Amino acid sequence: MADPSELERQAPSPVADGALQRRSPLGHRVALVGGTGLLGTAVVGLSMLAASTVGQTSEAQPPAPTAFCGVYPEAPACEGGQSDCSTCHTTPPSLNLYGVDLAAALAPGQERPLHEDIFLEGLEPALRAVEGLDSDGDGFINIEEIEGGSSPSDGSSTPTPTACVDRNAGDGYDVCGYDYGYAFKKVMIDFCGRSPNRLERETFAGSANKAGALHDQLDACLDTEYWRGFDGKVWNLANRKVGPQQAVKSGRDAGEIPLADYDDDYAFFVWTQLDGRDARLVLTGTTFVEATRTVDGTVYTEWDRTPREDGDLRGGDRYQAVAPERRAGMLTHRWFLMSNTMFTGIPRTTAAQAYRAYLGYDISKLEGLHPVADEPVDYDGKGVQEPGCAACHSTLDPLSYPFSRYEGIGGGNAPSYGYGENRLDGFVDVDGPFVAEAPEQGYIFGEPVADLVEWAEVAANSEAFRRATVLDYWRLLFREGPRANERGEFNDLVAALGTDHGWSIEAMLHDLIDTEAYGAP
Amino acid sequence: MRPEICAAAALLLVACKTDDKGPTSVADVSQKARVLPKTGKVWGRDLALGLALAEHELCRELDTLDCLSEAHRITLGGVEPARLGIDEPLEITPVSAPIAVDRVALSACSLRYERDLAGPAVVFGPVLEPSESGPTPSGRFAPDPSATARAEVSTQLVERLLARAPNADELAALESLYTDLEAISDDPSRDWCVGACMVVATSTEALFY
Repeated sequence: MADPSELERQAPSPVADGALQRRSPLGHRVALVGGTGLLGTAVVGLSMLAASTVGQTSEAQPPAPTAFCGVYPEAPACEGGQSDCSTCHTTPPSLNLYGVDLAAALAPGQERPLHEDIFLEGLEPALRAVEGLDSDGDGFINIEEIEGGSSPSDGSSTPTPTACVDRNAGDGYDVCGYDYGYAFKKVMIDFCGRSPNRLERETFAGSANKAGALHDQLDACLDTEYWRGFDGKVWNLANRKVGPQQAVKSGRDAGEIPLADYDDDYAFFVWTQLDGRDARLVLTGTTFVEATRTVDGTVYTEWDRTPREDGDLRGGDRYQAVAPERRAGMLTHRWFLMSNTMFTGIPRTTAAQAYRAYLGYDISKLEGLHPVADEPVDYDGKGVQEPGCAACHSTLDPLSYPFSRYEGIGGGNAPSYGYGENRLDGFVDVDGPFVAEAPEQGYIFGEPVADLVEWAEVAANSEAFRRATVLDYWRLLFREGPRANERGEFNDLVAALGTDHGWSIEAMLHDLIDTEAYGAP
Repeated sequence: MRPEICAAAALLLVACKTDDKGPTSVADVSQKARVLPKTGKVWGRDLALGLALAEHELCRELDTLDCLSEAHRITLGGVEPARLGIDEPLEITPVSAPIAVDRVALSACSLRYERDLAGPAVVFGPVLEPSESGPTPSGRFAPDPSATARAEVSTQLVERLLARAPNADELAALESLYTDLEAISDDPSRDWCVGACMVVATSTEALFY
């Protein structure tokens, strides 16, 4: 087995060393990563190839992750249809231990870098050839790790055994099945913010209908300030979506440069997650919510005002400036536009944050790539047509166009934080005349959308949104993502959110606490 | 923490974990082994409820900063997104977390003891009964807790802080702390009360779930 540190030494940066760059057989630049890094060459090269040739075919996908999942469609790593880059790489193009073994078995004797056809033809035999190896030396062969959902290149990651033996039956914990007493304590801690006292535990233990009592307790906890209140659990679940910065906050607890009030964002987010509301409202809502702290707890009040009305009521540093027909939930909130779009014409950062925060795809990690034909056009002359950039920007740029009519702090031909059809005209001096030709129409998941309202609707109805939403709560409760043997239950929740749960977070949580993942110690 | 309490508590904790057959050492084997630390907020609330104190009374650093919501907020699993950019609890528990836990527990247990001494007692009453040997030179009636009194208090502590009855091994371990302290403390009753309270309040069972 190769020494990881040795592998790192064998993998110089293809950018830093021009001698390590070649043209692919189809004319695309690919990287050579040393004698054992040939798979990395092919994977990265082909990923870039696919992404940069989509001008000819919008169906093209980065092939290696997809091809891997063609061989192992049932592998937990392939639930989204593509495996992660980390299956074979540390940081692409550097290979991990499994990737090194795979590279050695891939099309031996063929000239490197491999042509796409040879790579794809040779991949399955190579995958099969290394199934019996234990690349990371953790005692589990690669195929056991792939099928078990652990990493074949990480010695600390091993498949979870399926057989369970309760070696101390009668000790008060059922470690092999759903344990109501254990689940009751967890519900109290997770949702009520305190442990049950002895009387509560004993009362629950004596209940004839433990399942009913457990769900009653959950309902009670979901009404606590700890869960739903100001600065509560759900409130803080929005931290990564909102990205608050007190220094530029307006309203309550205003900072030195009050530009926008993220309390609107937090309040709206929490409100969408409570009382059986449709969770998609975070992306499709057209109203706003005010959180008021009272002696009885936080009260959330929905409101709907025009920008002028809100300006008159709340003042110039707080009002929401997007007209109702142009609103798309939190995506068009003042804080979101201020903190992400700021002064940019084509607001790629805004789109990337929306994609990451609400749909779970981090484009900077090559996630959620759906290259669009003839993109990126590079309307603002940022050089994104370079092959190294186009791989992501063929997805990101058309993802961004629908955001381009919404003003950030300023710079465009539109009111700050508001909508303006000709907003990009104001960026001609900075980004060149071509920027004004950037369309409002864009793409999300490869699907064309006319504007941001439509973008948000497609996003909110996507499987990615359901998955990201359930994952938020899963991580909140478990402080990690679903393990390999829990993916079935996790996927059931993802599917049910849009059906049985009626998009209600609370309904989803009632199902979540019934899972073995939650209730088995 | 006074060194004698610290040493005794450490010994007790070790004893709890290394018994061969005692129920405290019977670690059931969970495949998931998903044991999570309570956040400071939850643990503090449990502590406050168990000791019949208000959350804001538990502990203040420099008599200024609330230990759980301010001074040790991040250390004990809290977040502060707007000023510090900490959106989620730290992935790895900081090395200072046990120190923070000790400080909060010591403060809370000490306060409970002082309140009980002033009466009416909530937790330590049985141990605070005046002894028959008369007052100390300071004029105070020094408690001279019997094994029965210590067992009563130990039971109270486990019931209030862990929400269950103690087992025999736990009772024996907590009671025996007094013997250790007697030889080194000038106020063994006080040190035992605070020490026993700290042992239970900072046990694995109290801190994790």
